[in-house]
Amino acid sequence: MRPGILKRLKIGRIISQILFFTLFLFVFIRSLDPFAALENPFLRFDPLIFLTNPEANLLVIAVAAALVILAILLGRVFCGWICPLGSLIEALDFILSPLRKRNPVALQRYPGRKLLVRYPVSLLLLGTVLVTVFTQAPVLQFLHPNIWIIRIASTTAVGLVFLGLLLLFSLFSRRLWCTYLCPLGALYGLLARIPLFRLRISACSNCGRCERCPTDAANYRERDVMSHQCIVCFDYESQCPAEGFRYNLQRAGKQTGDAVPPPTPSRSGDGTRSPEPSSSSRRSFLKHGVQLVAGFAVGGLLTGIGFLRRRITTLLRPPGVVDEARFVENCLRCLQCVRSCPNQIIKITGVEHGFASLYTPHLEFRPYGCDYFCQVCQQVCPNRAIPLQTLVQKQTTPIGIARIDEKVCVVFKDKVNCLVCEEVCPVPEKAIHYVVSIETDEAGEPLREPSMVPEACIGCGICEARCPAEPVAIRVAI
Amino acid sequence: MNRRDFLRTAAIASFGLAARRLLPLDVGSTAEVGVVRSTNIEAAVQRAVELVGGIGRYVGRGDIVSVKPNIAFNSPPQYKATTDPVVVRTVVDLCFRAGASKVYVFDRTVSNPKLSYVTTGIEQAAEQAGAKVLYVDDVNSRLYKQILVRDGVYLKETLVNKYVLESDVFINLPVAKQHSTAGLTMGMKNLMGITGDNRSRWHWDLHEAISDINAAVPSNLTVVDATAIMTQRGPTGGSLSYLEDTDTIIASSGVAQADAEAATLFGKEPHELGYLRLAEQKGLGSIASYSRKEIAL
Repeated sequence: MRPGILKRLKIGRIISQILFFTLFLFVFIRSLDPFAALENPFLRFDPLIFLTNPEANLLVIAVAAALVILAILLGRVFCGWICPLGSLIEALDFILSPLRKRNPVALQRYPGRKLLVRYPVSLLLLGTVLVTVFTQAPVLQFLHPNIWIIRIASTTAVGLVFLGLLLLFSLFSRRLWCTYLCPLGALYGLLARIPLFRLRISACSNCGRCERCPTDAANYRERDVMSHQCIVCFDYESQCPAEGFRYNLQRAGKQTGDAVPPPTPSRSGDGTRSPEPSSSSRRSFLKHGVQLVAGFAVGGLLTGIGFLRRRITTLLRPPGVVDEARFVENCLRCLQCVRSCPNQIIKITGVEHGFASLYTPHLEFRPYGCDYFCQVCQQVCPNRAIPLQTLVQKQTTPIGIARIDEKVCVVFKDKVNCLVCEEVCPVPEKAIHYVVSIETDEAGEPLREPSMVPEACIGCGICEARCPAEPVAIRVAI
Repeated sequence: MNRRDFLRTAAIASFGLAARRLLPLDVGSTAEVGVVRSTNIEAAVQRAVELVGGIGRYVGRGDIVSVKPNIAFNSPPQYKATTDPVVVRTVVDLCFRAGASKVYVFDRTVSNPKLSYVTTGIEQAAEQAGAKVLYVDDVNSRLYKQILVRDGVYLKETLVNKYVLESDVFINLPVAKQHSTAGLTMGMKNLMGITGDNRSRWHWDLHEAISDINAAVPSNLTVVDATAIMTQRGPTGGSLSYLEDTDTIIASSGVAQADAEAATLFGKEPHELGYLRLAEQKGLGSIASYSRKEIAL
């Protein structure tokens, strides 16, 4: 193919990356404004995430299917042209390239690289993910690239650690995460094995320039571009002195006519045939199949292991969540709700509530409660783990129930009139009423004792947030 | 030196600021209350202010004005848990027409400030009229200043919003609502939104606290939004059935007198409200006899 076309394809890819990254940033920044919240499209429309929440609507299915078809037709275009984390990694790779070039143990020069190429961990991880998406073990949640980029953008501690890891990766190899670890990339890689439009080497001068392929996909010695690893980036193809790269239709089970035979390993002759490429690809297919199956086994194991089984938590979940088990399963731990909540009352759960709840969001009502008219967390949740309700539904679905501790409440304990809880209760009929007591306060005013109307309480926690007693005398619990 | 002069001197000394209109020009029995009955909110506000001397009596050329509506809750304006945005817009407008150089609009909200400012329509209305809207939920030394409350019974000292202290004019724009502990919340209770204290605690001696802060920080002009009053389940409400259309705007140079007048809309005698009785004792003027003018448009 003429270098001009390939160059233009590369420029097109970079423009596409910038556009999609801008879209990611636009949505992310918008979701910080409670009056402009949007759900993240990179998580909303994703074939792997779709598996966690098969109740998704038609649009989700359509876009996820389109991404799958894109990978079957054109290869890992998502990875090279769309994925925002991929673009971030590419930017890091670019910035750190001087350091990487000086790194004596960079992957490019490291013998272990061959092993990694042959046995990428990503397939094992994909296998694990494919099993665990149907269970409560949070595996995909910690492997999906675009969940990570939200955690990075949110500047959460765990996101910054991951960013540090990416920086470290960039010192060793370009696109290290994408090539060897990313399970989403592995999924698209599997789909890209079906030979349709693929990048190939049809002529070669053995210059070795394509060895710089960021994903180790191009192998000029075997005249092969590994389609499951190729992210169709067109970075070096235009520099091929033999203009040997072709990006065109490839029919199944058959090498196209213009493919040149690879040289013998010794590079002495030029007419000798090396082992059939189809047989080597069959071998790698088998190896990869074994890894995938091993991944299934690991997934099964993780699901089976007791510590990953759900512990019944007493955590208060964001508004609208009524089925804890379903929530834990669907929650992507992207922490978008934590970041977007205008009242900043959605907190990150640690390991103290079991591994199944790790990084799920829960509510702590300080300094605000859950606002009666606010639905931001429902609007930004990309997997609808926090269901998107109507305002009326949201205002009537209990998060928990408030209870007054009469041993702490100043009205009962100190005979002081207070009633802040009744005052701030946003439920129109008020879930906290008061009873006029025969007792009086210091000034001789009759005491007004707060009293719960449990059936009216929605557990929004505004009373808890505003209670002036120390410790707080009214608390919301499941 | 009487208490009022002392307060004035103390205020000028402690703030070191141009406090020339920090205290009302005239309070007590001479205070005038203007009552306008109309469904046209804008005209009602303008006429009510005219009835108490016109805006020029309160706002001078070049003045910096602080306007404090009730923006306590994230609640749509139709529920009247917050001051009507039209009232806010009209008052800001009047200030600029009188030559104000700057008008600030703010409240220390109970709900999230951004949600409250936007949902109530007050942010947009105030900005439309040219005011600067301030978020004052973060209690820090840039926004709040500790003041001593002379003769304070419950409050000995309190953090007060600096914009209130440093402005030439302070205008109080409450909405009239039922409130379980205070009885009613109007102009005097509205001042809970200028403090940086833990005001939930104030509820433990609410009437003293309200009258203390009002004695310490007088409102130059109070305009009560009583276009529809919340008669039950206040101060949050949340249902149109809790509202009663009263189509009334009350303006007054005395906050206690404005409240006394507004209380009558609820069928209450001013003396039934603890903080109004205390206001009278603390020198905020008579709540029983004041000159009033009423018109209907």
